[in-house]
Amino acid sequence: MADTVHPLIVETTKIMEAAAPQVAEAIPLFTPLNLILFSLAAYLVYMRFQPTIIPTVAAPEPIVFTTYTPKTLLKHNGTDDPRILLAVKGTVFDVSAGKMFYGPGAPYNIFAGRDASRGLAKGALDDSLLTPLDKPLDTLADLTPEEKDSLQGWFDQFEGKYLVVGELVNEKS
Amino acid sequence: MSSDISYVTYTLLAVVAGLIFFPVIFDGEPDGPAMALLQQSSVAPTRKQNESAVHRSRETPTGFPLRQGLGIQEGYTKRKGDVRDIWRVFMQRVGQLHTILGNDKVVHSIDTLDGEIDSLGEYISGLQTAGKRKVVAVYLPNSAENLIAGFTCAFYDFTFVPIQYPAEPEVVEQKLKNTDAEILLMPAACLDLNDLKAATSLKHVILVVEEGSRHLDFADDPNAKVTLKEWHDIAINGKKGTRPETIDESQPHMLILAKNLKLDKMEVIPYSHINIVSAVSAQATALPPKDQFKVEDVFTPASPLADQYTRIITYTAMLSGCTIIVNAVTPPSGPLQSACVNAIPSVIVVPADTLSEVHRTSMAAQVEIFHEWMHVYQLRKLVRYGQVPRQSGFARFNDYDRPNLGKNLRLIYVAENPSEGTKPITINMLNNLRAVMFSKIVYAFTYPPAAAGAITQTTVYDYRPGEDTKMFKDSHVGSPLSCVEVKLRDAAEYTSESPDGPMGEVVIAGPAVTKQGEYATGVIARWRNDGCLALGSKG
Repeated sequence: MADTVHPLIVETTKIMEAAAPQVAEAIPLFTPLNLILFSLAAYLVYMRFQPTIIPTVAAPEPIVFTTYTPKTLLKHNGTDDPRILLAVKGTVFDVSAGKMFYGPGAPYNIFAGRDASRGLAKGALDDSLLTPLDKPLDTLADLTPEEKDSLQGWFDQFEGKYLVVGELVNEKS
Repeated sequence: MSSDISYVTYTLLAVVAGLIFFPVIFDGEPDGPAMALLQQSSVAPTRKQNESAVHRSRETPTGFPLRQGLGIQEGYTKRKGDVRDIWRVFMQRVGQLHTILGNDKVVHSIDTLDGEIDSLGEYISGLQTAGKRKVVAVYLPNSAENLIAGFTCAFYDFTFVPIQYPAEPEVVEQKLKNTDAEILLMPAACLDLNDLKAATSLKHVILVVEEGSRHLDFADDPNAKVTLKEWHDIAINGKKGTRPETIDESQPHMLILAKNLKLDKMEVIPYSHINIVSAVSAQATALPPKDQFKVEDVFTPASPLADQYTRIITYTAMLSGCTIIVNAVTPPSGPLQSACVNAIPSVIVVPADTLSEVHRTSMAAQVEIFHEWMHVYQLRKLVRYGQVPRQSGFARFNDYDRPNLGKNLRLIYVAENPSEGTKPITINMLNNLRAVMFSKIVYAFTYPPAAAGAITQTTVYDYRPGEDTKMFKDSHVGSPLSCVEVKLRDAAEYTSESPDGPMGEVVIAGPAVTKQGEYATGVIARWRNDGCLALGSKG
């Protein structure tokens, strides 16, 4: 009987030998693209699970309501102290926001750090209308009704525009 | 190069795309804008020496008037209104009032109740009393009668004294004595009138008899030293009075008994109409519009109506025309679940100690590891994504021991009351409770001797966690309501210049405050830098 097995083995061997070179090389796992995608995925997972940070914003520190005397008020004239204060009818306003009116060299600078009541009532920028520092506070008793109205107008405007930060009282003797 | 793109690459691409798009699709919107939590109150730009800056609600910043009243539109003007207007608006908005009796629900006709106000008002007006102004003590559980008695006092200008039910006879006796109440409303056969001997002012008693016992005549007691009358007798046979046109708003509408921490004794505190309506209207606008009371809401006071905070919230709900469901069984004397289970409320008020207890039991009941995992997942949803977990089959799978308050619950009001010494609830406990109850929680600071309603309360979507140190360092009670302004005055070592933020004694002023000008409460607190009040040691 002829050898029937042998040709079959030969055939099989041929097929196997022929197929072997066809197998592609192993799929590359660590290609640059895969690494980039992997790190992106890892970053996204980290972002999802990282602890939340609760932000805080500190509110601006409130200004302490202070009692001023003509002498302690004087230094708040914009030159010695950047805060510009002025007093109207015994109430001290912080007019720093209106630096273009009350700052150094500005038109109303003579009122900065002073009791501006009489000057505003008379509508005049005159040093002689400011109460001297060593005299008691101006009582404004001698103003005419029109002047009082005008002063009240100024007071209301200041109240609407600027912060009330204190009161002006006489020097304690 | 083309051989580089393999199934690994495709898998990674899918993972990255998933990580980017899944959150966009499934995370959803937070309950409220997180940025609004950074500064929750309006802080005055100036402060006095030895005091912190005045903090106010952001609805009514410095320079604007505080909320004064209901603002009822009348022609072209608005008026402040009084307690009577709450009932009028409730009727106008066709609100409903139901009572839960065991498993049954009684739907009251509002017109009948409105008629009962007049018959009761007429009956009480006709009673002989020694005092010029009639003082009506109401010792009733949460019920339609309790609410009606309150409004009768408003319409007919009597002084209303709510007394918590149930209480020991000595407590009731003491309260009657302190307030000189001459008229008492109480359930039939719940108290022996001989136990109230020390309350010598008491002259008339109106008995509320439940429907099943009305065949018995409770009013027929020959030995009684007071006149007895049954509520249903007045309601059915009584003559209807006409409501006085005007009421004397300078007189107190309601008398509250509360402990003053500074004096360390019980005080009778008068609440005027303005106190109450300003507290109610501030409460009505305190929440963002989507969380406010709506007509569809079902409100249940799961706390005694004698508690002023509960009553103020109930009035707020009535003002919005909600369905009010009252149940005589409420915490602290009854279980929370029984108070709510048949009402299926969407908004409730709970006493603080009851909520603390719910926290304690439900957290301890999470014994399996998956309970904890699920809880951590829900807390994460709350804290990280700003959303209260919803009720679902999946969430309910985590069925450890927690009260079942119905599927509609969306908001819980709870108030710390230093005057009664309630246990403080920390912000982390509140977060746990939100996850356990699937509901938003508003935590308020009340001090009944000082002000009607709440003084401050947390923002409804504030789920920020904190450090639970021994001092409850990060825990807070939120920002002021629009009817009060709050500042801290230096007290002993607590000063406004403290490095941790201004500290001191809570001092309040405004239309909800029980006296003119400022009221120093004696409660020590601290302002956090987000404008929330953190309560410190008591007294």
